[in-house]
Amino acid sequence: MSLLRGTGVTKSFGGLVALNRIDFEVRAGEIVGLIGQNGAGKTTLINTISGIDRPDAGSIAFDGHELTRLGPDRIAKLGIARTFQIPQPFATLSALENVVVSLVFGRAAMSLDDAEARAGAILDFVGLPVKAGALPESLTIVELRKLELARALAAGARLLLLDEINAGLTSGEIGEAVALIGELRQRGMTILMVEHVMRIIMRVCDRIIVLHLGEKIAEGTPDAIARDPAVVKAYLGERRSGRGPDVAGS
Amino acid sequence: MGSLFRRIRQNLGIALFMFGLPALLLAVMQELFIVQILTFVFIFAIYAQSWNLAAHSGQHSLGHATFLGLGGYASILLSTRAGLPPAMAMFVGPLLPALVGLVIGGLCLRLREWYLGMVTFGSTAIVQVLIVEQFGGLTNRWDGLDAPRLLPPGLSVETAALGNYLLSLALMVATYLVAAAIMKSKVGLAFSTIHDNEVAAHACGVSVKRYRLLAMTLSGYLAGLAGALNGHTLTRHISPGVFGIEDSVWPLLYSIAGGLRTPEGPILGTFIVRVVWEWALRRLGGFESLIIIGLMLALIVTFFPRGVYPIVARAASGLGARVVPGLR
Repeated sequence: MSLLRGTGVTKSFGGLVALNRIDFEVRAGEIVGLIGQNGAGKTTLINTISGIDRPDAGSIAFDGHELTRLGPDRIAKLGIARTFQIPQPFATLSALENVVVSLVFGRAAMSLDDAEARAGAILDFVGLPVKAGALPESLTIVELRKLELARALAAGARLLLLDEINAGLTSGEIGEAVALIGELRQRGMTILMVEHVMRIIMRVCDRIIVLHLGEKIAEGTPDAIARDPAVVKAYLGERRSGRGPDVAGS
Repeated sequence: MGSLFRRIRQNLGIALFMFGLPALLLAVMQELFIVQILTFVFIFAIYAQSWNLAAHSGQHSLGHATFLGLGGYASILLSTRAGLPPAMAMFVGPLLPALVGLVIGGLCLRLREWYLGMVTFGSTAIVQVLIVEQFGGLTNRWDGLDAPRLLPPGLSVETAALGNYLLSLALMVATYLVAAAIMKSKVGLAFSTIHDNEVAAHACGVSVKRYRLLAMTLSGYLAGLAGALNGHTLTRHISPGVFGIEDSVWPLLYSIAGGLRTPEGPILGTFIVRVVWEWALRRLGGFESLIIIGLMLALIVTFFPRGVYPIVARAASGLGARVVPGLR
């Protein structure tokens, strides 16, 4: 069953077409990867789904609701949570309170007391056990991305939009990230994730959507995508230069 | 609700202290001019509290005199024209600045920081012109209006001054408790998220528009209450001069000096700045007192960028007092 379905989603910034008539679908319980080079339109797609950007044309349906006319707070309350590629913590709130915000104002709509009791467990779950009063400024960039994930999970969402939460991880941390996403899959979470770390994408995704300069150039299982000539040419082909992502080895 | 009361209880001790100390002071000291200076401190602490509440939601107004003045005018007109007793007009009148706060907040919804400051600042000039020109018949233009006393007529000057002192003190403490409760509630949490990061607040499900408007409306009401109280007790008169730039700047300075985004900060800041000011004015003279105040504010923001309150709170908790500092 399709939980999220986009039809002809188009978004331009000035003369630049960031998304050109993109069709996509995410089924309930599925983990879908969104890949493409810088400027492919990955983050713009996440922004249009979460309501941060309003598409110029097309429609996005989530569980029977048309999202393109809703504000980002309404979309969050419907059960779509997201992370930001550049972490956007609430700087004067503690890490714990950052999570409390999502518990209180997200789909879970918890009371403040319940949220404060629950928030610590979510930080533990993402592997970010912090001191009670720790402010975001005391966290490293990897920890801030974990905080983004914790905040998104706390919303009680049915669909997670993850925008490069795994950038800059060490090899060991990548293993942990894969395990964490596997755990989320066990719980039946639906995820659409932008990711550059191919080891993660290839291991956890059921399907992959490839964007290139605002166009969808391919869609399919990880294996099919790795062999797709258009993808290899536009994206994975970088490997020939010796600096591209390591697909075959994953 | 129960949890909210539990949260407020942490502030009751401070509130009791805030009320008790000045009340005790009155028992040992009845110098009229000190009583009046402190009454002024209480009233303007309410005003600073209102500014600080809007700032808590990231809306740093540079035109709060709009609300202060409209509260005064509305309350005075309600008592002189509509025959409401001042004690009632004082609470009904501020509904006008609350409404104006809602409107200005609506106009500013897409604005932040300096841009919001510019619009709020502009509102003082617009409202001043409206008061003098469009509503001149009602407001007596530049001459302004005399305000009926808050307390019944016939009291001696001293008794009236003491009454005003205690009433203003009680209202300041009540406002403090309201502000503290808001900051610790779900509403206060929403304000903080908007203050910190509007995009992330949206993404977390916070209805940013609604909470921003709520902050401006509440702030407009409380500022108006201070204006009404001031008119009916200390100045006994209001004129369009109230919409000048000075009264828009003071609440900002008081709040920064005392501690931004804490309910105690505006009160402490108003007290420190006003008391030093009055002392310097009497001991040193006009120019010198300005220099002293400027120097003091510069030193405070340099050495205590978060204001004086966090320092006081830390010292108090060192003495075993149960003070819970922090932004919420």
